[in-house]
Amino acid sequence: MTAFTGAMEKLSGQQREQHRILIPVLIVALALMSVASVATGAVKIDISSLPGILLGSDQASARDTVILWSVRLPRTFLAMLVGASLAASGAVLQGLFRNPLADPGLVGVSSGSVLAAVATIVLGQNYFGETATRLLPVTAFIGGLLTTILLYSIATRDGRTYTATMLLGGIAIGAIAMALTGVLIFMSTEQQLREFTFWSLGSLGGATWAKAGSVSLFMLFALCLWPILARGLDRLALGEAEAGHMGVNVQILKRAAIVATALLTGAAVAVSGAIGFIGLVVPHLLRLVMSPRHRFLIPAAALLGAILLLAADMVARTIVAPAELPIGIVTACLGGPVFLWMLLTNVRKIET
Amino acid sequence: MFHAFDVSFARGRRQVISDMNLELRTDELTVVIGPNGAGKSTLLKLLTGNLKPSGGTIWFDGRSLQQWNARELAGRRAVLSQSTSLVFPFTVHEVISLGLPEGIYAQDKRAIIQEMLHVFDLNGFEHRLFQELSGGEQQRVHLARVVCQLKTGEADKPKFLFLDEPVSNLDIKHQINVLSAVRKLLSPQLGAFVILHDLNLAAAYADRVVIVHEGRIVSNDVMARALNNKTLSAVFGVDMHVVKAGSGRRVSYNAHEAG
Repeated sequence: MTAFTGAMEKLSGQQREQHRILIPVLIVALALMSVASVATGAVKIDISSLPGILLGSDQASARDTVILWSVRLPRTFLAMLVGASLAASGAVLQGLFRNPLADPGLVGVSSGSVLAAVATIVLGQNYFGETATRLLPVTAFIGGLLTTILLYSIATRDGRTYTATMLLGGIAIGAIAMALTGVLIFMSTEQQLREFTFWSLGSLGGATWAKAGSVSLFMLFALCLWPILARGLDRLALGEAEAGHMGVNVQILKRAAIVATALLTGAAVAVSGAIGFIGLVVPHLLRLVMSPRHRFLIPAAALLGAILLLAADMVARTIVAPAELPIGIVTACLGGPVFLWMLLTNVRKIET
Repeated sequence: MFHAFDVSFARGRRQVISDMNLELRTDELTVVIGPNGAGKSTLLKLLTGNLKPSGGTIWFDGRSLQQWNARELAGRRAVLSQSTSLVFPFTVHEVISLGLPEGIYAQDKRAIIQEMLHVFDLNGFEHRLFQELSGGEQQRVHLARVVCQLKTGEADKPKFLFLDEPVSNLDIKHQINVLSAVRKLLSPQLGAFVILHDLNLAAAYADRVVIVHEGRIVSNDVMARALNNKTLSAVFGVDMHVVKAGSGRRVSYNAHEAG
């Protein structure tokens, strides 16, 4: 791992220019990974029989067909969409904060979404009954939005965003959100508690086509903001004043970035709980091998995020089979050490 | 073309800029000098819209600065700030191209960037990572980025270049290169406003010198008249001697007599 990342760090700009092939490579890798994900699980499905099942051939076993269509495929799609959302929102958030350490999980945006989601589970059901659960993606989005706005206004003074303030502010917001979440849990019924506990550790179990559909809807909204973001975030890397001098409407850009982050994080949190580190690690790794221009970085991050979450989900499903490990544990095991390594190689830049 | 009318600016209770009136013209290099804390950078930030004046108005090409939208203004005036940090690993080529607007032809883009690399003595740097360059090299990359911002767009409309201490990190050869390059850019459509510390560079390159002291413009005149013993000595608190050198001026002072 260290040797691998060390080698990547040495890529000069000249060599980096040749990494235009990266996005096609990622697309191919994602295709292979999704086939592997569909075939893997408690019940092995032979890869050679996949086309038959998908095309509805008579020779396909009925059992395999059911497993594939109602379990594996929705789960694979959901993992791809959630991974892509988390990584893309990480890339946007890092661009907005001009800081490679920003991550929706780390700076408290996820915990804001979690709080809103728990409030929906616990309070909402008392007042609205079952409709509340269907509102979950929307409330998680609003929770993420409010948290991002709050964090940005805390960490930014005179157009400069302070790293230490951002990280500490994120911890504070996360702590407050967690305390409030705790209060709600205290109030919850046994059934709600179970629902929440599984959900909060992060899981892609219970994936349905409806869930995958709602995430893709949110991603579609966020995609509409991509042209504004791709154009503006590169210039924002020079600072707010400079971006303004270069013709960027900084206010619109910031709002677009905050809304996009909240949409993507909120959607991901709503369907899969708080899955950490994907948003932090993916854009950072990519910037070591490719141009940091957001036009390429954001789609590449979405692809790599999808690949990594598929891989993590495969580990989560198989390592303790027939039981299942919460996927948040898998991503934290991988992401924690990478985050430490990022801290150690960036010490100088962070101490401002 | 660029006018400041009775502009003042207060930070908290401290009056940083008081009642400044200024006109910038195209085809002229206006150099601003003054001691630390005189208000030079604040004046530049006010003129570029980075700060809003607490009194007075600023006009550019017949419109007040607030009436311009950011994108329109970006094609007509470019700004080099004193300290600009860059967070992500962009190459020199990428940093310079940030100055160019979206949607120009790749061919034109390449030509402009090549020209900028040449002008600012950055040949062979285009694929280097910006963050790995020395301070002086980074400053030249930023200059290239800022200058190329004015290379596209309407050629017949007045444009202005604002540079806050553009040579502060440069060796002598590159100080000369950069200021000569800025002079070459001057045209009936382009003027420049440059903050400098080195009085001899001001004497060598300025058409007009604005002297700022304690938030006020104490002198605004053509170079030969603005640089005189009395004003400079009073403003900088050091005995200054301005001597004629050909058509230009040289400023000398005794290094041990500050105070």
